[in-house]
Amino acid sequence: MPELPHEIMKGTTTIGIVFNGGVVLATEKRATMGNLVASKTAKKVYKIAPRIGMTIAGGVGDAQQLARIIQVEASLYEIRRAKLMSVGAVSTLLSNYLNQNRYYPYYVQLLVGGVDERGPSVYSVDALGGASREDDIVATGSGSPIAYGLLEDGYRRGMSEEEAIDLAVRSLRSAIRRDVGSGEDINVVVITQEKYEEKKVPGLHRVSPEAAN
Amino acid sequence: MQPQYQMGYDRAITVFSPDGRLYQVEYAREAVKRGTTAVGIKCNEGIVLIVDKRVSSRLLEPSSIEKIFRIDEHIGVASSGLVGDARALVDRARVESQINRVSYDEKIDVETLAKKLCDHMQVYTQFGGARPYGTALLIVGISDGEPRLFETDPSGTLLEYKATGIGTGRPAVMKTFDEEFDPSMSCSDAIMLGLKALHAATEGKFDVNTVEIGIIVKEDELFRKMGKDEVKQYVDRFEAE
Repeated sequence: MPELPHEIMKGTTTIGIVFNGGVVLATEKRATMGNLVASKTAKKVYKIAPRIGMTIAGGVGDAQQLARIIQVEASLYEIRRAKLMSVGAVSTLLSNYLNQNRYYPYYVQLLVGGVDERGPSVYSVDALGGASREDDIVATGSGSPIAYGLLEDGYRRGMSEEEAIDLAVRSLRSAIRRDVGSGEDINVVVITQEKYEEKKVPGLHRVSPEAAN
Repeated sequence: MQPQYQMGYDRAITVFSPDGRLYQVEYAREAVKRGTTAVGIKCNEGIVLIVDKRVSSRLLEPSSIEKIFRIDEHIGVASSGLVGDARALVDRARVESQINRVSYDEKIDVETLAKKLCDHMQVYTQFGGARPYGTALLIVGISDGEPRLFETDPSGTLLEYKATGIGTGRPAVMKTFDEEFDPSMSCSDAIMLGLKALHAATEGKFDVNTVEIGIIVKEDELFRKMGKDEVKQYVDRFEAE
């Protein structure tokens, strides 16, 4: 089996947080090719279903292709069965697909998060199809060790939406400051029973003094 | 002698007759009409399946006739028509149920499974080289907390009922249900009604050895076939009434 290239899953920070009634998926927007910042406006969160989002890290082309495939699967599931796909079902399907392709793998590290009948949940899915349900916080990418420092310290069960967004943004700003692979602005997606909301938050530049902490 | 090129519209299933009928499909429906009677009834706690096995000889082991099948923990089916065809469909249903678990880590919806089976049956009304299934199925189970009861036929038609029957006794069964079905009845009342319908359909020719009962209730959402002792209780109670 071919080794995964060493570069994989570097140069990104993505975060998933489960809060009271929903999930936050947050990423920074830098895309790198080696030492070059290839894009300062990369999109790293994809909407898979009305209440499910997916963050990507790793190879952009692989991740985009995977996002398209799983969007189609979710649409077909919905129209054939007249019900929305659950977060667990999306993760399991992705996991199967990735594992079937394990000898020529998609170079990705994914977070799948959203809200379904069983409430909010986030799953972490790796390139070979390993999927695990995360109960509270999860981060992927080169900036994740830095983000985890803040996440582990600041997370508590039953956080509100605002608190969860704040924690995600502060964690990403730490990663942006100390990880060369992460940078630029921040994309935050908030998913609850009522909404799938995507917003852009400033990274380090244009940060107001009180938000800079 | 002149060779005969003329072919009847009832030979190839893929050929419509001039009045728009597929005779092979209709013949397959006829196989179901000659099959044993099976009934399914929704009730307030869940759903029941009852079949008449029609034991034709005293030398036959009644337990070797099987017409109610568990498909997955939450789904069961009853069949009428060709038993071999039914078993092929049942195996397919079991595989589809497990594929759903592997693909999505979820139990399959009863409706999804019923549609998958119908899609499969439909193929044999459209493509040549094979014949349609000579089987009708009652597919029952619980999805999202609700009891579901579907009826399929050899053409691949899918219908959902509150109470229905397939096989020889269908007219008698439907008449009984039309008059007496009540959605608020308990499962044991539903079994009594089912036995009554079966009694009407078989002209009273059934006993504990020829009746098979399957049941699933909302409380545990687990389909199970009743043992002989449990069936005997209901048959005895029915005969006493």
